[in-house]
Formats: sequence, structure tokens, C-alpha cells
Amino acid sequence: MERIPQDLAEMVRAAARSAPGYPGDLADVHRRAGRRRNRQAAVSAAAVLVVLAGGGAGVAAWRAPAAPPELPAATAEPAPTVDPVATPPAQALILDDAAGRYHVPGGAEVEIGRDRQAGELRPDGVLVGHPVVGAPNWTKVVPLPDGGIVAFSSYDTKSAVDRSDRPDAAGLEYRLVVTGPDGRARIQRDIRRRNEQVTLLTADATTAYLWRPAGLFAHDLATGTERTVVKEPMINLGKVFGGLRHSDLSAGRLAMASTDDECLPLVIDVATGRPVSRIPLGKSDCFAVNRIRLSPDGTMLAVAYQYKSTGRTLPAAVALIRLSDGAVMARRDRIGMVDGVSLAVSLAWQDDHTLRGAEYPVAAGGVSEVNGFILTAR
Amino acid sequence: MIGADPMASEQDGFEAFYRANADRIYRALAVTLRRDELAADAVAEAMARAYARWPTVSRLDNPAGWVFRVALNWATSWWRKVRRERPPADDSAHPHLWPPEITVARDALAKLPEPQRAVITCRVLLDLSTADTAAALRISEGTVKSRLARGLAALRHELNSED
Repeated sequence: MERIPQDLAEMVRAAARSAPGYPGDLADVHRRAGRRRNRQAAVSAAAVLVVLAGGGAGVAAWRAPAAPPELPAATAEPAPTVDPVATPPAQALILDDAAGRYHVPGGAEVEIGRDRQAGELRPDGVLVGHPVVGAPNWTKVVPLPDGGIVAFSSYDTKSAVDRSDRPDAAGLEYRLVVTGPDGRARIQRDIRRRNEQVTLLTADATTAYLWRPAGLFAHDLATGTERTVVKEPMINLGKVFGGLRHSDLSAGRLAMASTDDECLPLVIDVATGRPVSRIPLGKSDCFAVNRIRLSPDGTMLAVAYQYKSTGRTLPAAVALIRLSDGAVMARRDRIGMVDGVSLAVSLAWQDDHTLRGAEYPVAAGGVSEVNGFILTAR
Repeated sequence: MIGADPMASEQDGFEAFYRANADRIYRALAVTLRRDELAADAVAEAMARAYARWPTVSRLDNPAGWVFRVALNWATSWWRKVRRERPPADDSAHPHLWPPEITVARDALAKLPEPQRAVITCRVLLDLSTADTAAALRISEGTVKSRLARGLAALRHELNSED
């Protein structure tokens, strides 16, 4: 182990001692845990009501997975190269959270990260960077079919002025930027509403879908007008910011994993607001969900999750789950970990049955490797 | 004979863990984030998650490292929604009556990039090994070593320039 000089270690300890003592107490932890349990109970009760009313039109039954998620290894395979022109992917595989220098084995090095460019692993196995302009500190990028991108960022217009760090801080912009195929910003709009958080869920050529405290909104890219897609009470998570851990939108269906019980993802029909399916990943010993992605036709949910084991680490897996009956259609185990270090995992559907994934380190030193994989539903 | 209540035993186990670790994780996070209130909220949130999953978390190699990472992720994921391109609030705007050596230490740490501060606090304040720090922060051991080396060199430079 590297030795840390005693005087420097003491300097760090002195700085830590200068912080006021921890102001929290165990009762606060119990209160927070109790609130989480209550919200989970409310969600479960709502799900039971849905099951009881399952004969109603448009409401699919809530069923446990038909079998343990064990599938032949043949369903999980390394990513083959695919002609991107012949088979354009339904969804772009953006390397979320990637930061640093990356390459695919045998490929060119690409620098990815905030304020530079977003990384995409194409179906042909090539890693490409999408320059992000006009959106410093971007947190989400969605490629468009024409080669442009939609980016979301928070941007401080008064960076030299000391203010309290809150969503209602003066001079803060939440920017939505649409870049054309030529790399130039076509639309640059401040979508901030004072005292509100906002984030980009996804986008297409005409519409950006935004989470706001009041729910999910469709933002017309051309005009900036917005309409409500799903009201916050419909999602039944307590609140959007703080209550929602993961979400995805496809084919008129919205998939969500809550902060309180991420191992019980819920899919609802955005037209009716009614539940389509609830996936009890707890039966697969789920401990935490890292990513969810709805198939283009909205009939399957890809979930990257960590599960409990008898070991002292949390192994990870990706499963493709059919929403109509909860059946696990494919599963890949032992992802997201190499030499004891966790890797980030991103997912995107090639078509309605084929999922592409990528795993990679985040903010590692040197040049990091991006490895792709494919999962095909039986 | 009355057998031990496993629920009570788990509760006791978590309580012992909380009492032994909450303050040091909080201080490590406060040094890393340089925002005491955000650090306190993040530790409470991470501890609540650890409590809810204690049978599993308690079996991990380093439950304190797990709580630190969850708290850091929680704080930074919230923070990145409102993050701005400026350094955190300058301590000079909120003067404290610290001894000079404390002021020097805080100033020197404040000048480090947050990833270097996170590695240093894991190693020094949480007593994590290189491997445990790598696992806690989800980075490679090589990155831990390089960030530690760069951070310590910068601290040494600051310390010497104060002499």
C-alpha cells in the first residue's frame, strides 16, 4: 500500500476535524427508512388494486416471472459488427456517465466527457464522439436520426457571483440545445421554471420529453410549447425528483424504477396512465437497478441490475423481460465488473428483440476499453 | 431456552455500524464535497438505504465504503442538476475562527479537484486500502494511485508555499 506522509495525513484529518460534528441521528435514519417503507406499501397496494381490476380493458396482468432467470449462454454473445447503413439501430447506444479516453479493441481513441463530446458505440462496433456545443455541463444527450443531437445542461450565467446552491438560484439556466448534423446549434433554449428542477428523459426529431416536478412533459422543439404527458400523481412515486431513480419512454409506454424500490420497475401506458406491468425483480435477488430500457415496440424491458450473492460483492446482470407476463426472455450474467472494479453499463435496443450493451470504466486513468455485447430474446 | 431474535440482532448490528461510522463518513464527505449540509443530508440518505438492506450491505467487504459511495453518488447526482461552473463557496465569505494550520489545510484541500479529494479522504479518513478505495469509488486501482499521488503532491506544494 502506498504510504501517505504523516504530516499530510494529519493535515487532512485536521481539516476533517474542523467540520462541525455530524448533525444527524439514528432516529432520522429510521424516519427516512419508514417513509420509504410506507411509500413502497402504497405502491404495492395500488398494484394489488390493479391486479384485482385486471379484467379491465388495457390493463395487463401483474405476474411474477414464470421461471428463474436462467438461460442458455447462447443467448448472450459478444457484439458482432453490423452494417449500420443496412440496419440502423432503433436506439443509439450512448455511453452514459462516460468520462475519459476510450477505445474499442483495435479501434481509435475517443475522448468522452462533459464539455467535450458524448460517446456512442455504433452497431458496427465503432466508437464515435458527438461534439456537444452550447450546453456546458451537459448531463444528457440524445442522438437524432438526422445526425444531430439534443442535449440538456445546467448552466450558470453568473459564475463569478457567490450564491447559495439551489434550484432557485439566480442566473441558472437549464438549457435544451438541438444541434444539427453540421454540428451547429439550431435551437438553444432556457427551459427553466423558477424554483423547479427539470431534466431531459429522451427526445425525437420534434419533441423533447422533460421531467418536471408536476410530471412528464412533451416539449415541442420548434415552438417551445409544452403539454403534459403524465401527471405526477399518476406515477405514484411520492415525487419526481428524489422519488424517481430510472425511467424510459418508448411506444407510448413509460418505464420507471423508484428510489424506494428500484427492484420493482413499473411500466404504465402514457395515454391512460394505467399500469401495464410491474416487474418483481426481487425474485431474482435484485439489490439495485443500474439501468432500464424499453424495447422500441414497448413490449419488453431491459434491466441492468445488481443482485445479492453469498459473496462479499454485488454481481450484476442484464435481463430482457417480457411485459405481458414477466417472463425473462434472455439474461447475461457477470457484467459490469472486471478485476474487482465496477464498470458502467449502457443499454440500447437494436430492434424489438435484440439488445446491445456496452460496459466501460468511468473516469479511469489512461485509455479505457469499451466492450459491447448483445442479448437476443428467445 | 429463548432463541436470539434475528431481527433484533440485525438492528443491533446496524446501530453499532451507524454509531461507529456515521460521523467519520460525514466528515470524509464534508471534506470531499466542501458542503457540510449537503454532506449531512447525503449521509442520512445513504444510511437509510443501508438500514433497509442491512442483511446484504453488512456482508459486503466494506460497508462504510458502500455508504460513502452511495452518499457521494446521491450528493453529486442531485448536485449535477444544479451544478455550475464555479468553485464551491469560498470559505472566506463565511469566516470561521480556525487556527492557522486548519485554514491552511482547508485551503489546500479546496484547491484539489473533487476526484482527488475523494481518493484522499477515502484513504486517510476512512482508512480504506487502495483496492477498497477503487471499489468504493468505482475506479481502477491505478487511478486511485495516480489521483492519490497527484493530490498529495499538490498538498505538499501548498504546505511548502505556506512555510
